[in-house]
Amino acid sequence: MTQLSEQEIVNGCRQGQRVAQYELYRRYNRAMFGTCLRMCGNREDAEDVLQGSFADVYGKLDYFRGDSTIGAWIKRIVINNCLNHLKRRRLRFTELKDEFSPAQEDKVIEPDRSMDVARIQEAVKRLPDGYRTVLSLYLFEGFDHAEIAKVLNISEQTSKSQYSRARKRLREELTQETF
Amino acid sequence: MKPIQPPHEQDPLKVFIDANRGAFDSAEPRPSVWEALERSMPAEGSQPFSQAGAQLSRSPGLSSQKRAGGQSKKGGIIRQLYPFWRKAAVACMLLTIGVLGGLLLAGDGKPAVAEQPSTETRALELEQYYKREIDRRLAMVASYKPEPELRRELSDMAQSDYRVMQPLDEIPPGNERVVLETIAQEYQAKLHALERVIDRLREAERDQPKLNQPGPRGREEL
Repeated sequence: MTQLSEQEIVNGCRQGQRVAQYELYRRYNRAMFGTCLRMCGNREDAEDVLQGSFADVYGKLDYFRGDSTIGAWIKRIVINNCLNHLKRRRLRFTELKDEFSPAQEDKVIEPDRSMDVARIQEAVKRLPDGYRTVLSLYLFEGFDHAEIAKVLNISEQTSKSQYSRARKRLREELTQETF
Repeated sequence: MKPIQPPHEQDPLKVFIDANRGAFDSAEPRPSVWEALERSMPAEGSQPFSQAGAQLSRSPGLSSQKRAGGQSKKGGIIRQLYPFWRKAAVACMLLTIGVLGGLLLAGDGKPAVAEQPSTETRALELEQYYKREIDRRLAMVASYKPEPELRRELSDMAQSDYRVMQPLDEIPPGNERVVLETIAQEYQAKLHALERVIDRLREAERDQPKLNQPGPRGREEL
């Protein structure tokens, strides 16, 4: 017996079947929660956004046309809700005119010492909201700067600047961190 | 002035994240998230969720509810989750058999299509697969040394298998798929219930040391 297919789960959810709703949640809650955690920066807010996002997902499934995977569709809802949450928290981006030297900004994070999942997660969590949001969208969610600029209503230049500063700050966090 | 260049595929941080993406998404929400979601949804079989979406989307978040810290009524997870699905599954199967059996009796009493001999084999395979999965989860639950009440509920759940498999030899031809799906749903409901139990036990265990030893920054770790 095979597992329920994605289409069967979607159809079941549309009909209000609890098993299908739970199956959808079971399959995607972890990946979506990871996004919520990185964007929101703490577990409580992340859980609230996750809960609201799945409520939206179940409520809007009739609008899902299958143009993308259901996972990608859910992810869009989650990211939108995270951004709305951050905006309510007064997330602000100042338009930066600083010039960044790629050579300087891209001093790589030392792979030997810093490349540890838990340490990177902790360091990302400590970034200011603006840095963390841009860095999460770029590094983890695959957005490019044009897309980030659009969803955050900032210029592409600001997205790049925020990202560069976020990386610099992340590097500092990882370097200074003592365990 | 050099234009700002986006980090490329060579960016070791990006490469590392891509290579370890699963580990970055390893944190799980507390079971109370699903419980709150479930409470906010219409009862199964009533109004489809999509029609109640506007109202439900505004259901309060966990932080605005009294957080239960992953706890609910003592030992009630199986009772809350499993019996409903089990009864629904068994009722659905029996109803299907009953209706189609009646149709057959109303005819010439012979099946229109020869009975597929593979049904029982498929059901057995199904049973073996899910029992293996259930046993694996039961072992995980046992490793947490659950309370006696929970152990009793799990035992009751395990003993309910045969009641579902018993009517297999009475299935009219053409209904195998429905029955097999119903059986699968029955097992899936058990698996879901067990996963909820495991989530809760894991969460309780994870939270325990944190109560005594808060992290260096007083924040819960990912």
